Amino acid sequence: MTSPNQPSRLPQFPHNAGMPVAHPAPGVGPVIGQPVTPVQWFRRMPTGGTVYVVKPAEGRQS
Amino acid sequence: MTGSPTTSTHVLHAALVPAPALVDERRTLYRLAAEMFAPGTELSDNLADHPIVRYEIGRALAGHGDLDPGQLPRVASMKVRDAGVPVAADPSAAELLEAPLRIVAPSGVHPEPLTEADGERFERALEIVDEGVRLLQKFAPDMADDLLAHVSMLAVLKRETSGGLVSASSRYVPGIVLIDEPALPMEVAEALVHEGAHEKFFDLAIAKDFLDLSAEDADYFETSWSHARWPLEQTFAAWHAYNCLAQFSVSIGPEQLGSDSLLTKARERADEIGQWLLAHEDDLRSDARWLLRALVGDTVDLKGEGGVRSQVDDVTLSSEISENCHFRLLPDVFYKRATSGRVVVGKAARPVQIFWLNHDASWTLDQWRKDGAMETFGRLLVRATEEWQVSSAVAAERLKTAIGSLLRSSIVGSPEAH
Repeated sequence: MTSPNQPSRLPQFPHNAGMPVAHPAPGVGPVIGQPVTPVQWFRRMPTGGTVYVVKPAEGRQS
Repeated sequence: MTGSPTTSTHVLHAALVPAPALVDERRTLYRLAAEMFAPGTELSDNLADHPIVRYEIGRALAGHGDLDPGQLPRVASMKVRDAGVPVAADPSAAELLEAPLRIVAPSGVHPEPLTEADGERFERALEIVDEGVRLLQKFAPDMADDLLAHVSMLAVLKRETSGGLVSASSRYVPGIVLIDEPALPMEVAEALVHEGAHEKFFDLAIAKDFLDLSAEDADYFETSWSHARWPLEQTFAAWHAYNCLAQFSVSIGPEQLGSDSLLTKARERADEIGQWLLAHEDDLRSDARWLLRALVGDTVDLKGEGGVRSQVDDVTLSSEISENCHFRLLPDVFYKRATSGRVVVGKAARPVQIFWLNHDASWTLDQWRKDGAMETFGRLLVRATEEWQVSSAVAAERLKTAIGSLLRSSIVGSPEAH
């Protein structure tokens, strides 16, 4: 059971925690971003729009 | 030149932003939004991660009503059981999860979650979920860490109510994965890869530079296998998920697959969608383009400065900035710093505008935190030169770029710049 102030199993990360990863392929590096990036994700709400569904009838598969 | 990926998805994700940092940035954004809508609201990690809390905050951010902070602890206290991921178990889950159940439901279908009220049937499903998570961790431990960090809850749907739905997730209720009542642990493992990839994408989309409003006007992709037509956002999400599924498929060997498995088709579909995305990459933002090119193994345009330069907007304002220009933080601006050092900004408007700042812009914004007073470019430059440990000329260029971008976004103002 979880409650708002009870530690949950996921995801609680200690400071500086990180997954050890192999180096990316040569030439692959971080993106040099612009100073200010607007977040335009929160622009539509249900019902409607994109829902990610997998169905046996493949018409709606993502 | 494109071809099969040479680098694992989890490696490329981590090159963009490690999973713990991405989760922290997501939490920072939601905490900022909660404080803006309901001053004094502090979200614990559990609250900030809870899919229904994020749904309610997302609704408010989209301009659909206000946030009721009193409602949040109630939904977040919903009982879950640990099966490697938190599984909805509360007998009232159907009511508390009304939004995701409604959103993912096929027409005319009313999915119901299995809960502890279903007794042995629920316990059996919980065992299969637990085994499925173990399978994922056994065959693809790095991928499991990478994707499950973004799955805050899983709900199992009663088979007779799922309407043929195998697994689902929604951008509107991020963090929750819904699956049909499983028969095999591998079905759960595959669903967690598929939907976990979508959940990862949802978090990347709100913390990094993936898609903007122009995505809605972009061409649609038509699948060769079903002739369904997908908007760009769904196309990118599907391509991303198929890449993760293809990688998982290689990991598992001759395991028995679920009857609706996509694993054997994943590589071919990922390649088909990837080719289409490459032809439409101008519609993607910089981080999405980087992930696309990196994942299809095309490094031709990635050489040089060690990265891809994003399309920095016109910086004409920067050239107008002189030593004596004054700047101040505008009064409708709220902001919060993630552990990574990046700052997320909210502008109090209807709907609220959200921005992420890079490190230079984050540092610049922080210079006003004490008293909100005016600062001159000259004073900021002295501090930047010292703290960034670069030449004055380099600091001036970086500072002008940052301030120019902050001005354009109406985060800071200046009586001299128009």
